[in-house]
Amino acid sequence: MSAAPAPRTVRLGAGTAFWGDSVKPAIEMVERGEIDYLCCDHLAELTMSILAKQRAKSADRGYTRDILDLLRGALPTIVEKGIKVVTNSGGANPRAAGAAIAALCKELGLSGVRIAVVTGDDIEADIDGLADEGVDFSNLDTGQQLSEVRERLTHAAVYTGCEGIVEALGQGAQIVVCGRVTDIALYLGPLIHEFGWAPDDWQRLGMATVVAHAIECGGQATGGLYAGDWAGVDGLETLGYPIAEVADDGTAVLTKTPGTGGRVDIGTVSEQLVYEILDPANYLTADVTADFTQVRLEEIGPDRVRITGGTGKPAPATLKVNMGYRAGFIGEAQFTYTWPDAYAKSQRGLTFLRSRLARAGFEYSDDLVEYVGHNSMWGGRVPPPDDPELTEIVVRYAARCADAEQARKVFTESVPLYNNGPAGVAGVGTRPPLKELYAIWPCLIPREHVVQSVEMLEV
Amino acid sequence: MTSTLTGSGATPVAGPRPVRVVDLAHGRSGDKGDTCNVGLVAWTDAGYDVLLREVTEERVTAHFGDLVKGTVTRYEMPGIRSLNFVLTGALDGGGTLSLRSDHLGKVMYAWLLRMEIDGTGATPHVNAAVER
Repeated sequence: MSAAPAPRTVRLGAGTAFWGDSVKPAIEMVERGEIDYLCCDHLAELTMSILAKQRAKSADRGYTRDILDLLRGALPTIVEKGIKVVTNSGGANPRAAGAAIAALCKELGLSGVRIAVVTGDDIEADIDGLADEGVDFSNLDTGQQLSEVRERLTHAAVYTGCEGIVEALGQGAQIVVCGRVTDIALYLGPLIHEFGWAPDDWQRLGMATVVAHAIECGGQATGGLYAGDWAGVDGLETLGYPIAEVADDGTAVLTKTPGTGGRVDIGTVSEQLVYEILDPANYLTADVTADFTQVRLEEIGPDRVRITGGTGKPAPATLKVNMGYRAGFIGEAQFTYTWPDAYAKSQRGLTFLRSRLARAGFEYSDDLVEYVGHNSMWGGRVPPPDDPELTEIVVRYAARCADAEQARKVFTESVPLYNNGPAGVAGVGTRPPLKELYAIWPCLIPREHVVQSVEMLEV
Repeated sequence: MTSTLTGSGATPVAGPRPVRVVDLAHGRSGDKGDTCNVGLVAWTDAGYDVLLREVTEERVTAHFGDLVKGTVTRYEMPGIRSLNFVLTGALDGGGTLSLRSDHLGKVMYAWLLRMEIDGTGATPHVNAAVER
């Protein structure tokens, strides 16, 4: 009996987990991780609102520019090794991102690079037409009608699946730039392309979704943010990002870039598996409904964990739409009172601030007081301080306001605390930037209304 | 609170054995809109059984009190000895609107680790590198 050939695996690396994530781990992974694909997620719920605002200012903006920082460091090696990059850094403007990447290739003297731009997620211009066709964009959580916020919408993007990525890779793309595809799609696309899985192979797609979820937040799978044996994780400053060696059945061995800090073990991977999930039996994505409930982990070597047990069911008939709308501003002030009578003085200071705000005609919808260093994380669950020897207390006051003029009053009216309020105060700083609020309007769209398309750029 | 809990060699007696969730599990939390999920990962199979018995939806609801305006739902992932708690109305309107410093619910897990439970049936886990 001859030995069976080693089963083929596809090596997927998690390059970035959010806009602004460090790019060094991705560059190291390209150089030393022996990866086939670098998968980069850049988009959180709020990100699309910010990017849409940028696009409104300039037609060549609206994507996350950190992809350029990453590629500037990694592209020569990516091209040399034939690694493929799949990213949703296109955000609200994937065509502009594609053009910028093409320009970067030229600047770096690279040629023969095929860059695919995947569009189809952005339905902002079609909302009214879709509504006329009967699409119900009412709020999933509250049932409110879209008309209540229609005038304040910043963008509307569908969490789209991996079909555009599969098509782009099939056309020979080396870099695939998407808008609001799901983070899971960045991983499923390459696997479907490589293994030829059927789009309704729910078992494999479900298992691979579990794998993708385990690594899509980058350093959170390799010891970053580890709440378990946190003090025992070495090398957080040089954390390596995770790599999945995925087999044809969708199972994988999870590891990380050699020679980097951090750790991949049952503890670090388990914590990431439970991160930001709802019902583990019904993890909804655009491509499959994955079932995490029977997932199992096995340590098979240093920094090597085998992941099995995931399954899947048919993808939902509707896709989730991420709409954002302008929802006012937060005004904030922070100041510190010291011993003696630190807490009592802070209460007098707060009364002073609220009284001055009232006299200034302050209008707000909600406000909040936190004592930083005491209860700013768990609020009313933590009793007020009662230690007479308390050395200091930091007060943070924040209020939600409908407009910027009202929000500005919070800091303005806090400044006189410095010389008109009780003694023992310090730390009233310089005026903080106003925080504009974007609310998320979650709703659904039947999937037949969403069609992705692929445009190829060749450098 | 470990020293009084892990014992001094006294004869075992029947009755509740007070521990905190942190003695049996670690965890992580995050956001989806105004929903926060808190995952607990038990260090041992015996610890997982204690979590199943003690860390119920009712107890977790009471423990979070007014930090959670909505509901608490518990899900089980036995293969990785994990429980997932989904807390709705938990982030002051959601990560993009919340006035709270922890607007993304990143440390909600630690509040659950503080909950006191009856640890009968499992040995508290001690991280070698950390003296609590």
